[in-house]
Amino acid sequence: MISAVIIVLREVLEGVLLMCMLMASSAAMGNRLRWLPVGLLLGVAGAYSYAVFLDPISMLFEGLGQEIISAVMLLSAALALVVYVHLIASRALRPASDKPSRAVLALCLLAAALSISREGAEVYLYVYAFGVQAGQMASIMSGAVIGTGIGLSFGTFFYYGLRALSRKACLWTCAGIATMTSAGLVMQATYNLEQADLLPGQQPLWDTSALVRESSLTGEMLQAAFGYEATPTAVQLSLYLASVLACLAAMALARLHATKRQETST
Amino acid sequence: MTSIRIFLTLSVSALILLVSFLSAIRGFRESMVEAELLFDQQLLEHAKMLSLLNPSALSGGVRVVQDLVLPNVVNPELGDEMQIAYQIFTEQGGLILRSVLAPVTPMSPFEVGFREVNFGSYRWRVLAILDEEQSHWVLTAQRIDIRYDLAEGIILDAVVPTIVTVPLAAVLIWLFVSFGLRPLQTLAREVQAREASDLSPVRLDQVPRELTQLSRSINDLLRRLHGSFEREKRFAADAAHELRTPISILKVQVHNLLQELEAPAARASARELREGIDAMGHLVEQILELNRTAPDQYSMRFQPLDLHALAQEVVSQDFDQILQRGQEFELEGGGGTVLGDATALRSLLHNLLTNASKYTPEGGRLRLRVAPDDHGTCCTMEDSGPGIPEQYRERVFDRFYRLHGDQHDSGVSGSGLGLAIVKHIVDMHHASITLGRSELGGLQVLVRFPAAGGGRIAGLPEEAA
Repeated sequence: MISAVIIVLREVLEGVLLMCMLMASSAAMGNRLRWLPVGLLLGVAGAYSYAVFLDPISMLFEGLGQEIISAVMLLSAALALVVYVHLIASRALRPASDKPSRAVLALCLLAAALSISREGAEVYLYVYAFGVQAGQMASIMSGAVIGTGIGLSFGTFFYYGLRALSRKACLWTCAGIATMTSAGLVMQATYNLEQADLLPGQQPLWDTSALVRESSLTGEMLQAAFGYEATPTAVQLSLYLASVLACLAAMALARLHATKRQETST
Repeated sequence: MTSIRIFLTLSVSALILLVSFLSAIRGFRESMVEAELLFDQQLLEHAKMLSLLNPSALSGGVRVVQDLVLPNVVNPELGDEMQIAYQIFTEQGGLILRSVLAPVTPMSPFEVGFREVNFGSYRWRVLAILDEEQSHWVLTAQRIDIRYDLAEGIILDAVVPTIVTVPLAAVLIWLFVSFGLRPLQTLAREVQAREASDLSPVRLDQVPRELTQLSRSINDLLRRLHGSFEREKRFAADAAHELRTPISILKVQVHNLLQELEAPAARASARELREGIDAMGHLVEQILELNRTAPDQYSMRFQPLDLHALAQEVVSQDFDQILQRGQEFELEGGGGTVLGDATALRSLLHNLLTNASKYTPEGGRLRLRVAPDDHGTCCTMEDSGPGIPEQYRERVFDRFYRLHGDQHDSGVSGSGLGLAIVKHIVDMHHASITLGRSELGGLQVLVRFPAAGGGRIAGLPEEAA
């Protein structure tokens, strides 16, 4: 049961952190949360389809379908987050407005649907494989429910914590979270692509397993929040840093636009 | 907009869920440790029991006997799988006796204590004890996976109710929070349900402590609003009333002047002066009327009235104006009971009629129809004048608004207050007013009154209803 709690909690936390960030920033940008039910529905449908059609998906691209499709989903979500960081920064640098933005709605919908699809499919497959097939339904289900409950509780506090901040502080915090989440997604995508031999497998640069094991509770939580990897390779690390830099560049671009706008108006 | 109810329900439920689930996990882990100790105790007791067998008496090679089977009363589904394998060796390491599941080699090294080892495709927990009196080793073992499954099965039965009760707690929290917020809703409803003219203070006797300050602030605001309305009412009424006297004096003086003047040019100027004074007199009367009919300030006396009879009365009073302008007038329909204030309705009909006459060219046609219809009573005033273009139909109800700066050919000046007064009276009676195009070519004003006694009317006393 404890292992079920940890595994499900990690997946739920990954999704919940992203969703809370999207919800809080979207609300701070004057958008109503109408995208939320649609995003949830699309995510659940996506997760179910992905899990049910896992066998044919795995057979694609000469048996590398699962890794490649997973990497594409992760990279799409990461890219959506980079654009979203730019939007958040632009709005944070402007006076408050209640004008809803279609770009914000579309990006929230895309990021939410992709994130829930992936995390949902992983939880579904875990519960199905270890619970239904291995005949440990009570133990796995109890663990899954406890893990989901704890994840959602953290999410509730996290969301209201973000909403309690001032509009600007909330938007900049969300931009920071989006940056780290995007980098974490790129890290996972890189791992998938290495598994598929599409990126060269390399010797790890360092090993922090002794400090924080990936499979420990802390390790799982750090992985959920920042994409923690105990033994990163040079490719993984450089792509991780590239993603962080892309988000910082998106913020700098927003600041540049804001300065230009100010100069034009004066 | 954030909801207090959703925030409280979600945050309290999340807190309860977090605390109960974390304690469930802690309880589970501690119970598992306890269960492990119990199973170890079981192994020890069986090992001691086996050492009492006096194995030195056994001779004639190695004996293979049945494993010990523990009856599983807690989880019968696992049946007799909870078996204890055992071996008895001489102090020198010679096997004397073993159970079926136990291998021929020692299950663990000959060292007293518990150990986890692999054999027979499973991982086992093995206990080795040395009976120094009898000089032999007793080794007992249990499969770790079965120990874990058994313990987990028992402990889960205690954890599951915690999981199930949390959603129930969330529903109860929602209900309690809704109950707790009820005074706020009651206060909001009480303020919202008030008539525009009701500025009496909110009752504070049942307001909870947290809302007392808010209620006091609302009452303070209402008090100031009431004072402000009173001052406005008094000012408009006093000003209009005070203006009446000098205007009357001016009218008399002009009349006298006209009698005394002989030069035609001077008489013409004096006539213009009289018209100006008449217009000013009309304006003052209209302001007074507008002030009287304001829904916030009018003290109404509602009673069932025959609107058609009222229309006949008004027409007979205003017929002179229609006659002077050589206009053709028809009064149609009949009946139509309206629950209303007689003075206000007379003013409404008078304004509709004189407006229609004023804006219709001389020799034009006017038609007033008062009749009951499916929803109440319908009053329609039509004329053959220029009408009002659609884009101006909303604005003509504004005070002092005059279409094209009042460029009508009636020769009678307008104050721009007639339709504003009509609108006030319509609102006061919860009726509706629509402007449209008449069959006669000019304006059609349609006023629909609700059925008498069918709806609630503002300020209506009990006996009138």
